Amino acid sequence: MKVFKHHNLERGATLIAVFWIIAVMGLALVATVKISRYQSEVASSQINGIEARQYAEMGINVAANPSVEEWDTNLLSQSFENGAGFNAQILSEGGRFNINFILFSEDKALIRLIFAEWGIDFDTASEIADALIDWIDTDDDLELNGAERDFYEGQGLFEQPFNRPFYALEEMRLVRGMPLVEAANPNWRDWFTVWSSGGLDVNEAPAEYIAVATETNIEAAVSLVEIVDGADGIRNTEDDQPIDVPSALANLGIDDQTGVIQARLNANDQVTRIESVGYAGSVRRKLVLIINNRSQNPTILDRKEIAIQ
Amino acid sequence: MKVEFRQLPARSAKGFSLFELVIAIAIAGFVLTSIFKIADGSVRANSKMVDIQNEEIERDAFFSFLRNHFDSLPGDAIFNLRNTSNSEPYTSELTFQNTPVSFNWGGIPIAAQATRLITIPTVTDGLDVVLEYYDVQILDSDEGPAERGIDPIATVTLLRDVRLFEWTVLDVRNYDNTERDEWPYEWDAPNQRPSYVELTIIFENGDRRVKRLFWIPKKSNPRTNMSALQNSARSARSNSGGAGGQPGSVPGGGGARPGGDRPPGTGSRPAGGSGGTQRPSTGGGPTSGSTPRISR
Repeated sequence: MKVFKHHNLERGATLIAVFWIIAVMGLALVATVKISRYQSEVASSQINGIEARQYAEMGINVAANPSVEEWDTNLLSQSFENGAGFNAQILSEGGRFNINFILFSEDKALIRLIFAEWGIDFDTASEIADALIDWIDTDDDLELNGAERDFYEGQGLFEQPFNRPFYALEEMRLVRGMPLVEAANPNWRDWFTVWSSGGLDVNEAPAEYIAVATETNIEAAVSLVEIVDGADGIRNTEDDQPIDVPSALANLGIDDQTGVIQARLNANDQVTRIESVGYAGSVRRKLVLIINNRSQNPTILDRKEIAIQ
Repeated sequence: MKVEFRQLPARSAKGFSLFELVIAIAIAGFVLTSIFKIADGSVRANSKMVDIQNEEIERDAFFSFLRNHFDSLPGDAIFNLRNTSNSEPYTSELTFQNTPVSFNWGGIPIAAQATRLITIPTVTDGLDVVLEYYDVQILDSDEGPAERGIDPIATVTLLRDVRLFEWTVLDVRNYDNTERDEWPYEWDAPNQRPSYVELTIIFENGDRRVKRLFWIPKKSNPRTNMSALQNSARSARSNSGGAGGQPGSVPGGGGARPGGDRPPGTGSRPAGGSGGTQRPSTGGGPTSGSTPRISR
């Protein structure tokens, strides 16, 4: 007969109680540590956000200097000891389609081509093009499939259309049919601008845009871009070979009898887009500055902070 | 039957004394109370931290909203600031015109002829900060919209029950004549905008004055740019529709590009037919495969 059983049980219960106490205290300790860490992460995130914006501003200031060239990567991309820094780019705003220029030119065909590139059918594209023209023209006369004041008032939207050019791309979203465009291409803003000085800059636009504007195939447009990019094949480097519009058309093999294609194009646009992404820790902030005459007497056309996905 | 008794250890036989039990219960109570306090403190701290964090996020969002707005004010925006009370709590009206989409909310495009950021006194002597959208211009009269029976088409309360909400402005042209703490509280110059706007705010339940300085970048008037662009487009259209649309047929030989395809004075390309290209050669039409370099 075992006589120590009761005594052993007693000691075991004490041990379990001690384990419980240790476990509960441990949990409380872990919770406290986690909270402290979360607090510090939140605080550092806020500090990083401010710091990232400051670095983005620094990038803008460096890139806005007229003596800095697009290929001065040592100046345009800088990182510092604390893991923070900025990446700035000097681009031409002419590399995007100026929606006002297209509408002033009444080049509905080009709008249809752009929208068709995104999969929008011809009739819908025509309706949106007409609505865009009605938005900027000063009269209340309807284009064939357009939308004037009556339509917008019927939607409960007063004082629309503005009957003036677009001063911001966001204004385009107010035009009838633009939700369809947004659905077809959520990145439609990357194609357009309201600030360039005219047609699409053949030295700055991507091949895709050039192909649409010139109504050629993408292969020909890529070949043209390769010529402009120079021997290294990289845009905005010292060996770039900018060309003028007639040469671009010649390289694309276009015989533009009517001059319609040529009127859509430009070269050496003087409107500059400076994009600067500042970073600190895992936080990034992006600032965009659009200036005219960067190299001579610069004026600010637009400035905004853009959310980074 | 033989019953065998065996001597157990003295302590087990006696059990615990009352004193031992009291001490044990006291220690257990102390430990459990401590654990509970730690756990409760952690939960409370966590909850408070979340509340503070939410407030901070809300405040940060408010300041970001204002900064983005001031950053993106178009060059022809009209800025008007006026005080609407001479005693505490001081109220103000900050009005913007020609900024139709500047105060877009939550990704939904809202077009407004005018927007106002106003402060409204609350019953607790605080101020609500309210954003109002109008579908008519409201700065064309000395009378306020309410006096003229104009209602906003939408209102959004941005902050509730703040203790202080004061705007001051600085025009850098007056920088030398203006002390740092004497920036004006009003701005009424339709064709000009201040260089900086400063907001002093004490949030609800706060006792700390928070100051934020916003820069209003000086931008060129979009009307000027658009006018030049329109001329440029008109010129391009007439050239493309006309008989001289073929490359090489424009006066100037190789200059197929119309000379007016750029706002006056903005580019290095000379206007006019004879200077309609930067191609350095004097040849006629474009040569296939040629890529003459031009200056950027």
